[in-house]
Amino acid sequence: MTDLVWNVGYGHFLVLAAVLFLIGVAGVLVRRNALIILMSV
Amino acid sequence: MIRTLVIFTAVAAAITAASPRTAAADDPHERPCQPAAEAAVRAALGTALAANPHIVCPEHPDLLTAEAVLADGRIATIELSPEGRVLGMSTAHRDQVASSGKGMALLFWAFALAAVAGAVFVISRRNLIAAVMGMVGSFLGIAAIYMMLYAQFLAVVQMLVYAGAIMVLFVFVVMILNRPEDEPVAPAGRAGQALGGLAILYLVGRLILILMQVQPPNPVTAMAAPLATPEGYDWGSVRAVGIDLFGPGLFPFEAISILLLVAVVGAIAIARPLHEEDDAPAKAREGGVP
Repeated sequence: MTDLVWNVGYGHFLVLAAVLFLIGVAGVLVRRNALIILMSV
Repeated sequence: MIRTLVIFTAVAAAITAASPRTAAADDPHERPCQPAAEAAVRAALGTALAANPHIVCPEHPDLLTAEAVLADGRIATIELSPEGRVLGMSTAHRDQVASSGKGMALLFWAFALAAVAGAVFVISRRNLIAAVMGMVGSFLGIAAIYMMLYAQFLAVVQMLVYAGAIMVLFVFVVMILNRPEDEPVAPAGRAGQALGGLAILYLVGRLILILMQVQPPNPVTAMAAPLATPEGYDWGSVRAVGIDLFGPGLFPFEAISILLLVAVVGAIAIARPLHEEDDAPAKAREGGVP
């Protein structure tokens, strides 16, 4: 666990990118405001 | 914009201060080599070693490796056999060496949290201006992440284009679409003009003061920037991004261009009224004949 926190590698960056992508997808699917959808994209 | 640049400069300075070699001093994964291994490294590298080579042997589950600073500033990574014999060697610029310092890890988690929190803020707020501010926070975190990956050109473009232009565009759209027609946006009359003039004078004065404080580039800090090597250590530069974009990535780049063009045409087709009579109220407001 400590190693996972302090040894930042490319996997961490990929997971961060995936999380941001999923948040964007959630925004597109859940929100109905056109501007929020545009910002989520 | 000035505040944005200041934040960007602070982020860049923080990342530079926590660069891999700086944080390596208290890194538990780097330990001094055994005398036999250090002697083998010295014998293999000879005069290529720096005056103070800082030879260390990072802990690795499978390989016995050593790292040493060369005279030209690069880092040599040497693979050793258990008997201390040199099996292989590679060199890289010191900034190419992967970081395992706690400073970089802390910066990563801080900026990742800012990016994710800003993104969640965008999709969870009902107030559009608050959502736009969350998006700016997310952009700042992403730009810092780009800097941590040595993609300095992408970081600058992220700040200028997204956190600057796109954010302003969104604020304008939000203001135009959500502002009630009869709500004044500024004090009218002489008082409003005087207030606006004072605000402009203040901004111009602040800009002049800031420009007067700009110092010429320091040759020492300029030399501290990552150096180009024959192996092509410039993946974060404009040249490297251009080569990738118009070389191996040419087809995806052009395909995305066409996709965006189709999206723009589709948005116009969806937004325009289907029948002439649907647009009649707007024409009547503009004084035309419905």
